[in-house]
Amino acid sequence: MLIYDLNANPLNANEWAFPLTECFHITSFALSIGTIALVDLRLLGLAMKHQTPGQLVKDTGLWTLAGLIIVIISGLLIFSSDPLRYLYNSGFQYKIGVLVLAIVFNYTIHNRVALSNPSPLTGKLVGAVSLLLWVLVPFGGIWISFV
Amino acid sequence: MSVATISHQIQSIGFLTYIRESGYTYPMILSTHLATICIFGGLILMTDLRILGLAMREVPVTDVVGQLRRWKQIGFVIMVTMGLLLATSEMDKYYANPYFLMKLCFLLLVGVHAIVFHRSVYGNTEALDRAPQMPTVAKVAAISSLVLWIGIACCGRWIAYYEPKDKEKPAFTLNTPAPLEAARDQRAGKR
Repeated sequence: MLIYDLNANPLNANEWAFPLTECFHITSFALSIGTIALVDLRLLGLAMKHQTPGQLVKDTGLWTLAGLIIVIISGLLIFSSDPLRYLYNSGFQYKIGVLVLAIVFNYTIHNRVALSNPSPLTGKLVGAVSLLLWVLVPFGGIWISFV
Repeated sequence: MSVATISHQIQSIGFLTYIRESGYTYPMILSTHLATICIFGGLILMTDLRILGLAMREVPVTDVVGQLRRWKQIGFVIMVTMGLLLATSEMDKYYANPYFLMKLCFLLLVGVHAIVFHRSVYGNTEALDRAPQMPTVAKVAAISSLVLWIGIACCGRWIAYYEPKDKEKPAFTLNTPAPLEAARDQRAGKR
């Protein structure tokens, strides 16, 4: 039988490994969510008014994706430090739920609407929903430690 | 009056005591702090990457800096306000925490950065857009901004992991948590 020894995981054995992984996690989600928020601010008509939402999606897309990849890898590493605790943590379950929803929303409705030069009303609606979904994710992240 | 006494008096202020002892207010403030980091911290990263020519090359620097300025200012105010509430509500622990002090120094340097590079870079974006190549001073501004902000985020995280060495800990009590338990509490910022 395979036994996973938590204490052998470098994240638990090395003093610096866990906080360092968290730093990668934070910086990369600032990058991914920040780039999405930039498009959202445009959809809401609040910033970047000289560019179309479509142009901004194209310009920031690679950085959003890069950020998401690093955030997921570092997140999986953090998860591996204590899988059972996270799995049964209601904060974690909520966070993953909102995260999946936000990613799916981003790569379906959000980007499609942004690329299609939407009417101001549609743009505002999609921008607001996107911002709200992404803001809820870090709230879930913090909640993991407090439930 | 020592720093310890002043710190204790600060954290004893009514609403700061309330935040410290609250069940939900503290994590709500912490979450808001983090949410502003993702949105507005992300805008700062994008501005720096644009100046370095790594992102949004089609968009003039003038638009990136000018159109996002107001939002970065709003985010900065929310971020700092929430951060101050978190720190002052536990001033007893924070005042001697080297990572907290380092974070304050970095924030001070952010102020210096803004003053130093305002005329040549952030208030001079039209010239940057006209220049055939991005001037070195702008790249220096962008790289130092990246270093400072990522440094601030890392210090913020490390604050939770610092334990004063001088305090004698009881070798063993009935309540001594197992190593993994202790690590979990520490990560959670349990007080």
